[in-house]
Amino acid sequence: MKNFSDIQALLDRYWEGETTLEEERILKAYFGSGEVDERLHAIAPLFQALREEQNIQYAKTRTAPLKPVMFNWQRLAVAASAALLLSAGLWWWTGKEKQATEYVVHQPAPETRQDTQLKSSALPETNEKSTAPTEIAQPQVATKEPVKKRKKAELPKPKTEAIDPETEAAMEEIKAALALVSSKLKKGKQEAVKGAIHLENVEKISRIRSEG
Amino acid sequence: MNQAIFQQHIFPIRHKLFRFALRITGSAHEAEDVVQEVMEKIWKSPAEQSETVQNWEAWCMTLTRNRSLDKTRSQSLRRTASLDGLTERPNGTSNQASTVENRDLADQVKRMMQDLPEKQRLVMHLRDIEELSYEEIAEVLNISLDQVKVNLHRARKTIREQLTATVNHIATI
Repeated sequence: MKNFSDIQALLDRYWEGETTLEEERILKAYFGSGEVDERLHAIAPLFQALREEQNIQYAKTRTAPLKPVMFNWQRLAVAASAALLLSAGLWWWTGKEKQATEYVVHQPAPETRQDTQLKSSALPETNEKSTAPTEIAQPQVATKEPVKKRKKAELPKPKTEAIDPETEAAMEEIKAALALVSSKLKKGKQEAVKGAIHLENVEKISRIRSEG
Repeated sequence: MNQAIFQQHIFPIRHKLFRFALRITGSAHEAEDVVQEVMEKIWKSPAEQSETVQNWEAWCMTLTRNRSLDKTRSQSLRRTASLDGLTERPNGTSNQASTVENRDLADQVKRMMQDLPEKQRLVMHLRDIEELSYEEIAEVLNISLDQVKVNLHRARKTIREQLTATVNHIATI
């Protein structure tokens, strides 16, 4: 064990940055020995801090940080539900359209005319709104004939009027679904932003506390 | 990378790499990621490259420094996170260490070190905690030998002054 004057001399050189690694190890060992001269007690915390820092070890326990994973799950859930709703809506939409096409193709059939007339009389208020959806639906139905002629010829017929309530209902359904999805997405985004701000604030506060 | 070399030279210094990354990023999570990425990079490095390495420790520390700085810059992390919670606190290693005041003082010294200017902080860390030679420190931090000495001197001087002032302040209370 080194005596006080030896250690004091080493310390003087340590402050100047003139000690060798070996001499610095002697100092560390001395201050870690538990027999520190009273006159050097004021310096002891430095070597205690160095010793403790040297004991910090790498121990990887996580494979990925927690926060981003939660973020991804939320996003994934929103995306998945949006995709599900969209595909369900599309499936339904295309199914209805196919049905509508069949009606037009089999125009002369009297039975369907009766059916559709019944339907149109059952839902009279939807007839007024029918122009927009027919314009969308018709180009797909009309393959070779000029569009203008078909429109004039077909619009007064009960066939197209009968298709409209259904396609319109489908449209409305999809619009509602899309509105729901977009509102959810907006809400989710807002929540995520709120959460991020909150986390930042918490971090700031804890930082201020640890510093103070 | 040869498995034998990896086990002999790289794996044993993982704690050093972690502490260094922690010193730069100030975040244990970030430091863990840095070490893993550096290890992976070394493991995947071509054999010819590892043959040219003369000082494994300095080489790994340099990679750790670069990766840590990249992370710190890209995420604009602040280095003010406290290291206290990660430190092991052995009891009774010194007749003084067990006292409450010394415990607080040691924590204060750690904060003082963390608050040093970056170059001084890293030089002091590499010397006093990782026990690297001046030449190794110069290589890792890509600075001259003179700069290593000047920064180490300044860092120790600052810590000494601040510690003495704190102790005197406590004594007068």
